[in-house]
Amino acid sequence: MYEQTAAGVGRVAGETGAGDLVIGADGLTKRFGKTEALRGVSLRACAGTVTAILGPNGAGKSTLIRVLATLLRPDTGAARIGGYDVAREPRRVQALIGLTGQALSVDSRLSGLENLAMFGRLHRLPWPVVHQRSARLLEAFGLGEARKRPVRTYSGGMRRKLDLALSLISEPPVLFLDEPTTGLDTASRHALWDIIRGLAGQGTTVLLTTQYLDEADALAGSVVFIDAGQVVATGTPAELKARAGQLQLDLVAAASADLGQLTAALGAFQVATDGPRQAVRVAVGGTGTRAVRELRDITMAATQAGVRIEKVALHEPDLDDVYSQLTGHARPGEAEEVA
Amino acid sequence: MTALAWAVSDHWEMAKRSLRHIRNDPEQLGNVTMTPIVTVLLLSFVFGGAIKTGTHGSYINFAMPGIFAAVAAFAAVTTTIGVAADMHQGVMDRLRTLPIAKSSVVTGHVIADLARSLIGLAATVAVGYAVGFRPSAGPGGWAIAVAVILLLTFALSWLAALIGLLGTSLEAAQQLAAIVVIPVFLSSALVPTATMPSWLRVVTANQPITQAIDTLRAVLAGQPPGSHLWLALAELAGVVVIAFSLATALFRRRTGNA
Repeated sequence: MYEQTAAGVGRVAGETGAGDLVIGADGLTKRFGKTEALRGVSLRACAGTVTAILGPNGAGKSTLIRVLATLLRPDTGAARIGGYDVAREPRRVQALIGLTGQALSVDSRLSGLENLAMFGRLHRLPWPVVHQRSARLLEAFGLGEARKRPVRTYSGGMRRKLDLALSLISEPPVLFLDEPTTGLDTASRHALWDIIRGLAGQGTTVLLTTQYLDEADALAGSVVFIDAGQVVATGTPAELKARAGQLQLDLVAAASADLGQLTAALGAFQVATDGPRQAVRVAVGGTGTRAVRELRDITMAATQAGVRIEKVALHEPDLDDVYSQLTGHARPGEAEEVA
Repeated sequence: MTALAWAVSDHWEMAKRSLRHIRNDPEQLGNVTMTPIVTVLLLSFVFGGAIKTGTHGSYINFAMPGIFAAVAAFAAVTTTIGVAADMHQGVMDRLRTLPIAKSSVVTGHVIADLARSLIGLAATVAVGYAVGFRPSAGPGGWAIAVAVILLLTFALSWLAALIGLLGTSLEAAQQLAAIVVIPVFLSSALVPTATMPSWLRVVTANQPITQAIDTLRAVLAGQPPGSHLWLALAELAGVVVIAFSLATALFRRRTGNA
């Protein structure tokens, strides 16, 4: 089942989109001192698609974006944007890309309009184009009224929007967004999602990083899951969820001595003990009626073990589960807590 | 537009940015206006009576050119902080992904320094007049004086930019910023170098800031500056060339995609 899905994912990802290949990376590595930030990352993205780089903090997401956006040179491997090599032809690549990074790159001592005009001119656009696009972007992002105020008076959401607007003034065919909605409230997040969807609809190729499964789900046609500098899975959000997003039942034994007995009784099922303390975590296969039937079987087996159970919890899959499913171990921070 | 015209446009946009920072953040003018005003008052009323400088008449007439040099240095300190802020805040990432003349990022700050310096100079001259500064320079003398101060500002700005690039963080650069001001005190700015020990005088009497100040003293007193002018121009030009080369090389290394 696992093998079959993995093979299917690979094939689908390779064929996604009718457009041309716009982003192509092969075996990228990058080391900072003793830290291997990237350990052979490859990915592809076609024109007009949204690809999400999903992974926990420190997985190498930002390093990957910075390599693709010509800000870092990879140690080995190569990447091409629109056919140009990011390390050898950075200027050509720079003419094609827009980047909205994690550190907000707006000038807080200029107004929104001054920021747009400056970056428009630095993109070497003629003045009439700069004026026209600035006005349109400010209006589209709901910043029209605040356009003449210094950016330091803007809220977090307004700054993010302006940051994205700055990336769009050159109408780049390729857009890199490094955690575009981190720290935003729900309304601002959804507003940004709408903008990103609209851009992809108009043919922009978007590559974004995120820690949020729901963000990848909402925006991306293709997800690249990276961990510790390596790609651990690629596929559509639906495929990834089918693979890693199973319901889980946590059974907490009353005494730690009972844990072994409980685990043995559930031998027929997929059992993990890396869940909460003194708990057996059982994967519930299938969905709908099948899941209900499997739940019945699991609870019956647990009852027959003759062990006193203190607590029962049904656990919806989240990013941590995707992570542990894909890597076979809990997130480092979590593991320490359990140990 | 040609490549050269666009490169000029890049520099102009970055200069406009720094000039707008002055407009949107007028408190950064405090350094170049309040400091010289306080210094003028201090030197005139507190020290003026005690310091005898020989042939220059009142102490304020002697000290004003030194204060002008201090204005240039204070104007340049803003560049250290501005460059360091750009290096260590997100805005540099965006600038680096633009297909622009990258040196314009630093040049913009340096050009804004000239504006800050002129504003500080005007404030210093005004308060100087109020306490008895009476230069006897004609229009030609003033033209030389302004040109020398601007060149001094320009040289100190590139030095300040270099220091801003050397700092490994914004805080480190803020600590280092004072380095720009030190050479002003190791010059003839406040006292004649003749009173200093000879080993120190070798440096203080010949360094570019002293040459600039001695030029200013001469022209503002209505006298020919003699060799001081040429030495000031040559030495300051040397500082500009060296600081500019080092700063641009360091900037490339710090921001290059290597």
